[in-house]
Amino acid sequence: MSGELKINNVVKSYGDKNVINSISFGATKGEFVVLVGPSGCGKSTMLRCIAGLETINSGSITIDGNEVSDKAPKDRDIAMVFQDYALYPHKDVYENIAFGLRMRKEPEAQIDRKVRAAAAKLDLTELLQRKPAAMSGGQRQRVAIGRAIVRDPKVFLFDEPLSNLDAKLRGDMRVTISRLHRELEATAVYVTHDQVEAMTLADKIIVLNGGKIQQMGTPVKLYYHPNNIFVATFIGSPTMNLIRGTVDAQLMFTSENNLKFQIPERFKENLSAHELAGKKLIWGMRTENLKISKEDQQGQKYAASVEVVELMGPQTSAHCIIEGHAVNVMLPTNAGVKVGDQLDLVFSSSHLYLFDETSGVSILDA
Amino acid sequence: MSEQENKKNWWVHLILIFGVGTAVFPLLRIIAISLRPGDKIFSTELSLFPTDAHFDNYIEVFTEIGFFGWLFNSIVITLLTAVIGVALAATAAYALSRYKFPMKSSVMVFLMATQMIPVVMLLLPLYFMLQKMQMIDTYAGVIVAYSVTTLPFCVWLLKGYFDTIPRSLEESAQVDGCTEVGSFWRIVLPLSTPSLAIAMLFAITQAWNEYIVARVILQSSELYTWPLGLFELQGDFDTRWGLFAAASVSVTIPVMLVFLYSSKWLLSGLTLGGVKG
Repeated sequence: MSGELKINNVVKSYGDKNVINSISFGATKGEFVVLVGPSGCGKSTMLRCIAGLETINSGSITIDGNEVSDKAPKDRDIAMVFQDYALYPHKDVYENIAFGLRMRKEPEAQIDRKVRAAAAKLDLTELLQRKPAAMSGGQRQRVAIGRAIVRDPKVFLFDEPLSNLDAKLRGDMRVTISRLHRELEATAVYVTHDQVEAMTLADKIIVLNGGKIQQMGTPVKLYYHPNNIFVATFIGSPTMNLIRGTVDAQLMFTSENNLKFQIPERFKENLSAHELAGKKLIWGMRTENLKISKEDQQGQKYAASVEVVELMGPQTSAHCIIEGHAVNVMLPTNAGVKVGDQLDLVFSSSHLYLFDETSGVSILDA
Repeated sequence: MSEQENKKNWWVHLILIFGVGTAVFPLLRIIAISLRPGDKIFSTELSLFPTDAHFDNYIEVFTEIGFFGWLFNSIVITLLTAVIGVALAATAAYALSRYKFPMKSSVMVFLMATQMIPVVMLLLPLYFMLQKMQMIDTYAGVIVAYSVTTLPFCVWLLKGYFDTIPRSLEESAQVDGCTEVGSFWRIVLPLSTPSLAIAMLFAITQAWNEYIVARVILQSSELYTWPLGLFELQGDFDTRWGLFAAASVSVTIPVMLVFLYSSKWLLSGLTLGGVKG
């Protein structure tokens, strides 16, 4: 039975150091919440607090309305998938999956039925008698997931479950996890440092940094409407381009290297709330919003010289220099861009971001 | 295999054969002596089975001099020492491996330091302490003395092993429904059988062969362990070397059986593959 998880003002500190700084969020029944952030941002600690493997200093954690922050992990009705799989080496796959049920003293026939059902879901039926040592990384991770789903807990916790797998397996397992989540309608909290996993799996992403929530919302919201520079650069691959500069009264953005960009008139109203004169700003543009200009195209063109080209399938990432600024551009591979090419690029102002350089806060996203 | 490797192996084998020979020679001698008839005890014959070999010495050891009683005492004391010693060591080592507490490293160093103190130095304090607790001339006295003297080594050994077991295994067990004690019992201990076997063997050999402490604590001859009993055979004017040898051979058999039985635990590497490879 999936449950509802609520985290209220949780603080966790080691000595004087606050690892988690008053964090609040929730996961409704069946919601897939992904905690994402760089290493040391507190995401794994947060997950371990939910699991009960770490005690919290203050705040509350409730599952289906019941306060669990003082309960032992076994009494919280959660299941957890660990980064290193944490399979019991002395037990075979069957016993690994059955362990949680045995601890709960379920009848043998029921255990057998549940273990076999979970194994079938994860393609493990052939491997039930194997010991963990005789299996590949992907198989072990499937066993670890099997051990979690067989218990049918209120909340699933995933601690970077895919980070030890190679790229192809990671892609497969992402699909498996996504499919299982849909089938089981399970409430899940998933920790990762990989924003691609976060974007593909999440109903709701929570971006953490320095033990604080930077922003939470749907993947689409975080991608198109980041609250601050941290979220803007963390979410999205390749990373958003940033150019430092200032904006004058005519809404002309001038960069440190004198690159100019006229902010369209329609944004005047959005910007009127901010005191922009003399303020150091950062102009953010997604790599897909720069295009090669066509012959007859109107508007401002930027001369770019291509320094590095990375082929990524149908798209090619071209690292260019525009007026001394390093800018990464996603171009269709069939455009045939080569190193050393001189391009004329145009910026489509449909997605325009401006951030305050000192505070990092977004002052315009459209 | 290359020529060079063959040559290396040849040397290794020569050294090993020399080592085994040196280790086994006294044992073979004592077996030979135990089989000799009384009038040939001091002969210089080297054959393993002397002429006129017989088992009279063995028969006499087991029927006439109370050797069975000593053997029984030794077995009881050894088994209890091993079980109590290893149980205490395992729990102490687990605490040292998993929990943070003040003075932890000092505790470890202190334990190590006690290992350096020769047991003879401890005899007097040990005697007085046991006397206060009225444990002189009892099984319990010897067992307590033996258990605590094997502790430091076993704690170090087991702590080192527990440190290699990933904590996530216990955490996973706790999420799956174990208490902390439960995860120690169901996950950590089964995974530690190789090191527990070594600790157990250490305690067994210590207790089985010990003489000095037993000499001081045990006074009545019906409580004697076999080493004490064996020295009873040494008289002031005449030592019955035939019986002595037969008894010596007899007491090595149980220890050898224990070693043979436990070799399979010693060799297994159970933690392989539980976590990422």
